[in-house]
Amino acid sequence: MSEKEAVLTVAASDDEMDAVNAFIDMLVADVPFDEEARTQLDMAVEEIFVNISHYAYGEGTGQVTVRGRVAQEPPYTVTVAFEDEGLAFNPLEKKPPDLTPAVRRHKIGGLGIFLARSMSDEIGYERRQGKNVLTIRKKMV
Amino acid sequence: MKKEFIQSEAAGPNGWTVWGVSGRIDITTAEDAYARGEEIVRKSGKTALDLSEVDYVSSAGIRVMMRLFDLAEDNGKEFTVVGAAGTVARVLKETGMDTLLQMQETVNDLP
Repeated sequence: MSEKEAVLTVAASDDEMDAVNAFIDMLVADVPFDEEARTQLDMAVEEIFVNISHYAYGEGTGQVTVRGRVAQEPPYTVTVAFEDEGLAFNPLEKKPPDLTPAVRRHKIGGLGIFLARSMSDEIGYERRQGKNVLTIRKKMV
Repeated sequence: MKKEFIQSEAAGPNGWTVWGVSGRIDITTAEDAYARGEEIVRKSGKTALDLSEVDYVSSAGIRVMMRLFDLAEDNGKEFTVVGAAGTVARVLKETGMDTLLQMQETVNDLP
């Protein structure tokens, strides 16, 4: 099966969100997609990137490499892997957020990863060569 | 990082102020969205965020709504959302925001 591949490396910063969105636009530009699936892909990408931006490097700075692949035949599955060199951390092990009124006023943890998981067809984490690698898959049609 | 945040403000039924926005409420627009929403909540007794022209709400947008709901509640006011559809409605339901905010389908359903 032929696939289109692309790689982007940016600073782990919310300021790079537009660059990541543009990268995803470019990645899926040549394949048909269901509008809702596209929205959900964007959401999963934002939630994971922002999670890395906010937490991977603590008070320090670092980079994120985004590796994208899209199959060139139905269901045009998009695979996006996010790599960072922050402390080993598997966000998929976090408990779902508690959104009850008494709790949410203090801190809502895990909401982004909860949504990323919900919006993806598959999501997985591995620690590889000193890097956190979080990978999502989404069928575009 | 900031993007222009397109919005409108209109009188709705039963004393509600309808705050209409369009496009995305995401990490790049959330800060602006909260600032605009805060102004409206502070000056209005009842504020309804109309999401019918919004096609994308991330967790940053959910947090904006939670903060505005808390702001309204702390000041004896009301805040709700109307018009959510598609993935936006799904996100609100999966996070329990539909119940918390007593989400309504349309402006005309505002109590």
